[in-house]
Amino acid sequence: MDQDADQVAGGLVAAGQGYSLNEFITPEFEATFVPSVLHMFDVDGQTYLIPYVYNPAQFFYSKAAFEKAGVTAPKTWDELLIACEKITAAGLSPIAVESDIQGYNAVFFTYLLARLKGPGWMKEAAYDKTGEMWKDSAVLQAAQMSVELWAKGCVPEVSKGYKWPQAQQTVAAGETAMELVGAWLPTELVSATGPDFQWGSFNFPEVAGGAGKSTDMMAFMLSYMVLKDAPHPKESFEFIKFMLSEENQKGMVAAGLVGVPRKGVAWPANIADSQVAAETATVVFGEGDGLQGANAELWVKVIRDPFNDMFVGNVTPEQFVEKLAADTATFWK
Amino acid sequence: MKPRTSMVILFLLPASLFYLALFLVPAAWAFYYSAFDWSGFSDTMTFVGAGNFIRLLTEDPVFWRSFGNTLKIIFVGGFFTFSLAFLLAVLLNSGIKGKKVFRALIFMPNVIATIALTTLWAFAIYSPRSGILPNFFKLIGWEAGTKFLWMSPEHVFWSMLIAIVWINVGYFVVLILAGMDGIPLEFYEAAQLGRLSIHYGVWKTPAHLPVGLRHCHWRDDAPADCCSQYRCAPPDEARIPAILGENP
Repeated sequence: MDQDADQVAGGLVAAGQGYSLNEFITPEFEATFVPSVLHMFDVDGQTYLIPYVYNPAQFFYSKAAFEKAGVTAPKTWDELLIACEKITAAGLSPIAVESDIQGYNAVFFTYLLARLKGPGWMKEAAYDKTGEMWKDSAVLQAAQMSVELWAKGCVPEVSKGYKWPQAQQTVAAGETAMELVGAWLPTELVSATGPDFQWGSFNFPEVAGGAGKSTDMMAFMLSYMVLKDAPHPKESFEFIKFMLSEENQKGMVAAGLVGVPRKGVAWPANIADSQVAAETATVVFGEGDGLQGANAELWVKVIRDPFNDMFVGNVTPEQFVEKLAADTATFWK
Repeated sequence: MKPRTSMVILFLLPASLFYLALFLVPAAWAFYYSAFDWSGFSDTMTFVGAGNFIRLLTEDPVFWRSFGNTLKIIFVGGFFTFSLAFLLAVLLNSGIKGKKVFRALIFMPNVIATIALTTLWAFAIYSPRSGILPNFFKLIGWEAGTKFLWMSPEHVFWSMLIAIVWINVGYFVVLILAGMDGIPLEFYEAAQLGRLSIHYGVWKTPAHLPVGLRHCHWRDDAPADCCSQYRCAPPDEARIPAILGENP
């Protein structure tokens, strides 16, 4: 079967329904993948998921909008805030936010913590059964920085009134400059933008004094898995290998306008920057620093949805952090 | 078995089987599963009895929030749905031209998929960019109205409740209208007279009522001046059924 890797990892694999493919994975097969992606969702050294579509989570921007505002891809958080000012001054909205898509908005929190504390820290904090790790000052800082985007006009207030896909449509319409989301965005918007719309993308900026690098990247992968009770696991894996052949991966790029994990296959032009990011990534992690795949309920109920509640202004960063610590402790009881 | 009984069973059987297989049996299974700690995927199911329900009622704030919202939809939404439905039904029944057209228009949301209707409200009516409401407010120059975010987290429930009322009102209008159609016209006349007899101080008898009904002596305590401007007749309740076209 095939599905979004975070979902399958958090569902079927977590429930012990996956067939470990370690016995079939040869060094030659492994060598066909770009770095860090084949073992993203391993559990205790066992590989259950084989990725076939690679969607880096980055800022996707309209090159025309950036040109109009006279900005280049920001490398640090401070540069991002300055870019927001320039874009606003040019009469455009800087960042598109879909207020009702918690999964999209939690990417801000995931990245901010990964930049401040390094990738893997967020997952560690979530697994601290006392909830105390959330009281680290970086958590409140990350929450405050995400809210700062609204306060400083990076995200226009009107976004609170949008329902997906209204915000991303404003990027296609040339009213908003960028959006933090997966690499499917340019393809998803192609009917609104037309094929000639010029897209660029850049990694989530570094934060001064933080432990993470701008090349530590979050990605949404689509993956194949074989069910535990599959009568012909070997043949199933042969099929997966066939689908991941150079010819078929090129076919997916051409037909689906998507990025793929196989080395040496050129991605579509409008996500060419994403391919560079994928090939130079130092660490690749799944949704919520891998939490969606490791413990979906913990991620969604305790972290993701309460974060969005704060992000859209229903509670303060302080209240959010307090709730995060308390709810994590309750969750593990 | 009588032929009629077997015919009834024959005709009821397919629907009953579908209902049993697609609704009752799954519902029973769901109830059975609710007594277990189980992800839906794993091989192991741990029996927890009423544990899930206790957790739901004591620990899950989302459940109480959604339960509260459901109550609001039922009572607040229900109040406005019925009030509006009665109002529209009375208006449609008042002899308005094109009653059938209006009735069909009001009922129309019931035959459109809910997902299409909610999309219509979210995108075509409430959207800050393309919505009819914000753009209408812009047109009339009402700045505050333009900036009101109908779909923001703090407003979305009530905004969508308006949509729910709009969607459901047509269904009840049709039901109430069907009921109203079944009432003979004479009853309205009698009802009007009844009202007149109670509020005899302010009554004005509509010209189209039968002359015989234009009297104010249905009640013995009617004041004497009640008859001053109308032709009066002595109390004659025996005549009323005949006037209303009923057999005495």
